[in-house]
Amino acid sequence: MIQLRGITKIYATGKVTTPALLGVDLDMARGDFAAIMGPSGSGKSTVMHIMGLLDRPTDGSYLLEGQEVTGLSDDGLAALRNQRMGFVFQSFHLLPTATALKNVLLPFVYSPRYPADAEERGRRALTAVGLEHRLHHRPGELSGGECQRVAVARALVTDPEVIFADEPTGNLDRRSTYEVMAILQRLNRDEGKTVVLVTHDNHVGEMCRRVVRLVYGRIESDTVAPQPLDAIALLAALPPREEDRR
Amino acid sequence: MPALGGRLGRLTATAWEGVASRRMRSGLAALGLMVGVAAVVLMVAIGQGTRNQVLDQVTALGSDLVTVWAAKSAPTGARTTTSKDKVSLSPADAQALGRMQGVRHAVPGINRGQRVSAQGVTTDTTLVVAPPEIFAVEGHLPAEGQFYGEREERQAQRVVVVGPSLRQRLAGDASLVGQTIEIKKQHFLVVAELAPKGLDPNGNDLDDRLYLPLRTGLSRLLGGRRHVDYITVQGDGSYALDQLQEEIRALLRQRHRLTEPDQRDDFNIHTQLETIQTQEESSRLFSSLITGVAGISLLVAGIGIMAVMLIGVRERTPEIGVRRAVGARRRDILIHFLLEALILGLGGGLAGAALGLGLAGLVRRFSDLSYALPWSAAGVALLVSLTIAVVFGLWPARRAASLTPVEAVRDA
Ligand SMILES: Nc1ncnc2c1ncn2[C@@H]1O[C@H](COP(=O)(O)OP(=O)(O)OP(=O)(O)O)[C@@H](O)[C@H]1O
Ligand SMILES: [Mg+2]
Repeated sequence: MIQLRGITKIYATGKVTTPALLGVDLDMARGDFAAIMGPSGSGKSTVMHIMGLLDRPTDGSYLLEGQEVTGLSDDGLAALRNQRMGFVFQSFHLLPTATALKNVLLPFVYSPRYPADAEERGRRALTAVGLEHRLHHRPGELSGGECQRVAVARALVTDPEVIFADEPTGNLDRRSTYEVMAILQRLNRDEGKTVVLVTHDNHVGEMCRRVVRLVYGRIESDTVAPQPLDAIALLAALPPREEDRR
Repeated sequence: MPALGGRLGRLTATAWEGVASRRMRSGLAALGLMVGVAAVVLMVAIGQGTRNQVLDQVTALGSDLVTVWAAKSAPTGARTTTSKDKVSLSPADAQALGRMQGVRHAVPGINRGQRVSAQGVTTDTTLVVAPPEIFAVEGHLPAEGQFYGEREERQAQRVVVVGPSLRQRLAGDASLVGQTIEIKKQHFLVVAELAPKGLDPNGNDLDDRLYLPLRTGLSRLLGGRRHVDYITVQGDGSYALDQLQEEIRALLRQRHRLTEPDQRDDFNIHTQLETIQTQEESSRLFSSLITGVAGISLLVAGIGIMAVMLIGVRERTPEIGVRRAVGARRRDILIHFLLEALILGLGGGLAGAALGLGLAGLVRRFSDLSYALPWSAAGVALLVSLTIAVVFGLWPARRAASLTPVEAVRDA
């Protein structure tokens, strides 16, 4: 569904030019579960931003479902992001003054029409991430893991084809990491959603079926793991939480 | 365009949430506008009030009057000038003016400071020596008794009409009608008391006066004087006031044999029009002062909104990034922040208009100013504050809209 060919990205700030991507060819098939890994500064975020239409490549071709998107207008890209993609960020980026439900409904503010069942869909998305009891909490009243699960619910409320996540577990402890990964694995397995995530964490990489390694703006390796770790099993193997023991 | 309409509605709701969820900051941003608008509304009301007050006073004096003063006797100097200086006007001049076309009354008169006493009290007042027409011309009504008339004038009777302030000093709340007042050891019968008129624009008490017939005054108090200080002319409305003024000048120059153009008038002509014009000038000055102060305070308020919004845009950069990531277009962000500015302007403007009108109502209640509540000024000030908010919100809003999704969302 995603086909990158010869993608380069060169940042020019003043007289200094920083090459971030030096010719990347990368395909993502529908239903892929891929981790993008590599050292800091290797261009992981950049390639994900380009795939997520948040940024434009300096050069190269990007076919989305066979359609060339590099020439689209800003508004055209915004519409594609709104209807076909979901995003999760390392630091959640929730609206601090809005409730969990309001945060989840945010994409509908910018959809062509506001669905009549928006609120119902928001509840369902929050239920899917196990937060049906936190609908009206604000981010300040939620744990980091819960915040990231709200962000995941926001990413899937529009029922997108692909979810992009930049270091989704970077700020989370082990348990929350497993919880978020379990949700993403279930979405991939049960609903066929394509998941592309960036991570530093080899353990998270082991939970992904495919691992793409970047070094200095080039793809160094692209491997498929026949038997990725199951986050639900990992979660079950953790010692019980304090509050669960009581 | 139902889609666009729906979207605008959602953006408005979003903007409202953005303002409402930051109560402290939004309140501070709107405070400047509120104070500015309230000040403008109050100032307009007070300006209108003082203007009305002066116009009332001028109307009380008679706004259709032309007064001719004998030369060298200034209008307000009537009490102090000596008789030698002002011999130019005579009762005959008044008669001639009275026969002129377009003139209803021409009333000669003398004003002078005079010591009077009654019932053991002695005080100084302004003595107005004038024939009975003076009451009609100056628009007096009797509060008690009857004014002196033609017969009393012709027979030079010793009768007087007393003003309420003077009566108050001489007799307190008791009536003086039917009593006598002593002037220069002669007794004069009080036949009437004037209805109160208050102060003139110069602050003189129009009620601190004692009127007596012209002949009586000339023969019994002024030692057979033949000239008068002034002639008050009331037009019948067929001439404009300044035109009437020219007709009067021509007739008097002719009567006084001032035939050469280089001979100066031996009289001065004064109309209430000039008083009104002076007042109008000062109220224009006041208006431009208000406009200036209002302009500056609203400008400051606008800069306040801009500063608060710029800080907001900086702080909310990740929020803007997320909105862009989930599908907001540049113009959605622009409209969103402009709507937030508009809401601040509306809130500040409405609160200011309400506060200003409320204060104007209070001032009206507890002062002697009278004016209609300045609804239209409040409306205009509200519109101006909306405009200010949008104009000063434009830059922050454009700044928000110019952020690219990546730079807004990139984890620091
Ligand atoms: N806006 C920018 N202007 C200039 N250079 C940039 C900009 N964004 C990224 N870069 C540079 O591009 C290169 C790749 O950046 P990128 O954020 O994609 O790396 P990354 O692999 O995600 O690293 P990290 O693991 O630290 O997040 C880096 O050298 C970075 O400094
Ligand atoms: Mg990165």
